[in-house]
Amino acid sequence: MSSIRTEHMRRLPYQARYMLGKGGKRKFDEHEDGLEGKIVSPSDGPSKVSYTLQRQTIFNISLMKLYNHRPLTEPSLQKTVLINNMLRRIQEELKQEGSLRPAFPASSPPAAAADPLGASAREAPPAFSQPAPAPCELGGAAALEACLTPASLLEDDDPDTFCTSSPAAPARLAPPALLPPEKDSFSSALDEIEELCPTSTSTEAAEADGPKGDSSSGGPGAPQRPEGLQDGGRPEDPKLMDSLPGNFEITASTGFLTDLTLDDILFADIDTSMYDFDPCTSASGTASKMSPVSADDLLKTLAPYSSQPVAPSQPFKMDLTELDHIMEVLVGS
Amino acid sequence: MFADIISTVEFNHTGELLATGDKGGRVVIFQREPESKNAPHSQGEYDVYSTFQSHEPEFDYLKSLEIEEKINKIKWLPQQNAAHSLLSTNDKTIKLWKITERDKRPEGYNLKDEEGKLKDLSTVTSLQVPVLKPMDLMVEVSPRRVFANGHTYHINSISVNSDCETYMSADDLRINLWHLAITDRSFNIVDIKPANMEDLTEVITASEFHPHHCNLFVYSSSKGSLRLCDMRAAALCDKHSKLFEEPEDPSNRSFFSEIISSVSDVKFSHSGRYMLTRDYLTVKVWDLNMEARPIETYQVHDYLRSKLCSLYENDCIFDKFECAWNGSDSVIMTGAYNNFFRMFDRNTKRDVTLEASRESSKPRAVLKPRRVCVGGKRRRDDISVDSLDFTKKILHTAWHPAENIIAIAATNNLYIFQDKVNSDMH
Repeated sequence: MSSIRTEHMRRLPYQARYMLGKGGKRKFDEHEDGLEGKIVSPSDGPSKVSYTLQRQTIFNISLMKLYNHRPLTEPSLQKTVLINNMLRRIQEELKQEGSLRPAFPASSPPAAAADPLGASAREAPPAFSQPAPAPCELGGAAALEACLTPASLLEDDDPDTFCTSSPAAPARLAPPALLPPEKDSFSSALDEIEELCPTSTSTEAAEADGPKGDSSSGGPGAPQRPEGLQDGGRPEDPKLMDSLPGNFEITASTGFLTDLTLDDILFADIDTSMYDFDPCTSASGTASKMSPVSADDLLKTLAPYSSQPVAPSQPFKMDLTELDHIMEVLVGS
Repeated sequence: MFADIISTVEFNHTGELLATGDKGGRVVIFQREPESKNAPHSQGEYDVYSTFQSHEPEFDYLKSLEIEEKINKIKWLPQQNAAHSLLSTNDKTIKLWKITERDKRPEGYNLKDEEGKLKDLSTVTSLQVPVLKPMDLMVEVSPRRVFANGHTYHINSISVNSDCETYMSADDLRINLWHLAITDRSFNIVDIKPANMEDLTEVITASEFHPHHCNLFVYSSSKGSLRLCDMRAAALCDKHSKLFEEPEDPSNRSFFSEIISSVSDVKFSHSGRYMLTRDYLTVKVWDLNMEARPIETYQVHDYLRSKLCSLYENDCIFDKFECAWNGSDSVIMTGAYNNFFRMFDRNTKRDVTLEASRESSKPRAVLKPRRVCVGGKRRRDDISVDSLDFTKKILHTAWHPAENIIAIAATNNLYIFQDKVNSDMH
């Protein structure tokens, strides 16, 4: 195990350097809201952070558009297709960048607006009942296997870290200007959903978690997923639940993007570049124990970018510990 | 009766009539008053000619969704007799309307009196021949055909063929060819629906028949390409005759490159030699003989390029602006935000930004050119990019087929500008 862990540690710094080290200029207008401006390439040095932030934001916005919207009339297919293409592109980029990450078997794009909240809402609870950064939790054995390798690399038997990371998690990475308020409503909305359909929760949880069972795994629960799924407040969720059957029918008849489980949608599209990019310390510092070199490197490189909306001191709580824990549970060790 | 948001504007082939459709499913037709020496001020002004309810909201029970009554497009048929005809369409159903005038009525019936009541036969002593007497003009509109159930997806365009017998309707994935007299069937001529809808990455955004060649039509896509198709080549025109696509400019690449390249409108020039396309930031003129790139590109509001993320967030980036040629194909026009619209003179390469607002449209007022400033020197009347009102968008514009008269739809107001327009382009 230790040898594998070392390998992973070696890989992380490389990855961090890869992501931050390439030169090249990127036009970035800092007088704008920090997220505008032309992106030339994702590989520029200092601008990599903002590029990734912008990408993440656009990703979140795109998901919001698809899922947060329940029109009385059929949503525009053109708009749906364009948003989906955006998400696909970002996903592709993430896949290419995150060579450490497993390839998501559910590479199909998220469900169209026609079926959006439908699948999402009903299955949200299981997603969030698991500890967060389960990029591997793609609802399928293949996904699990794909996850196994890297997670096992990270394996560090310290279940405590998992709990400690939870309070910090919500602060993770999301540009605070945009996301915090939505995060709260989002997580509370998810709780609502959870209340609304406990059956599917347990079913999904059982399926996806194997031995793990239900949400009790220490923690982070709903708030863990905000980055991937920033959803601007979902007060209409109860209504959505009522109208779910309609959604599915729509999906069936328009034929656009059916058959996706929530796992596919949520987890496949969760931005995991941050995990690669900032394997930072959790509050307890155990993450740093796992990969001290890389975390320090990163923090050093990140320090100058104080113009970023995220405070360098407490920005990138890490998921290595959480990943670790998940894998532990899943593998049953 | 409140004015609804105007969703389409179209002059007829002579320019005598101007039709508007709105979000409430209503069509309002304006007629140009003939210039008269008696009232020199009303030189050819447009007055309301007829108003009718074209489409009603419907409910799709299968999908549990409403079908909007909003009129997406109106197209006039070439006039073949005293009556005028137009096609109007919402998302799902196209209707053919016949507009007739009645300005005489028969008087002097033998069996009926003036009110139409049957006469007491004992009072009828002689026979008379009814005579047509003039009456107040009455415009009657009647639905002659309803072309329903032809489209699974939302209709975005209709176009009447130069043969005056057929027309096409395009939705997101398919284009159908109809005969004007036959409502129970149509021919599918383009189908880009993939076998697996999850593979869908491109939709049809607009289409139009060539003004002279009845076998040619063009359709545009959400990826910024144009396809010219020849109906003589095959029954199903999935294979284009020509593909017009401009390679992406690498220096302008962004997350939003694809979205802003989506073509929102395509119009053939009157000559039939060129095509005009509108995407989010530009209008482009294409020569039918050159597929590699447009021959002219005009920036409509390039200052928005740095705002694309916000515009994506508030959905403005999906706004579908239309474009128009003037009668001689020398000037092109398109709308923008803040109730601005832009005109580009292809010969002088000059352009102008004008505003459609109540202040600027007092009768016979000269439109003042506007300017959007992007930092740097700011002149007195300039508007800064950040104070643009993105809710005031001019999506629909139309140009009189022969004269310098333009119709601008600004949300729920219709502005008609005449004559002075060209002199503003200095």
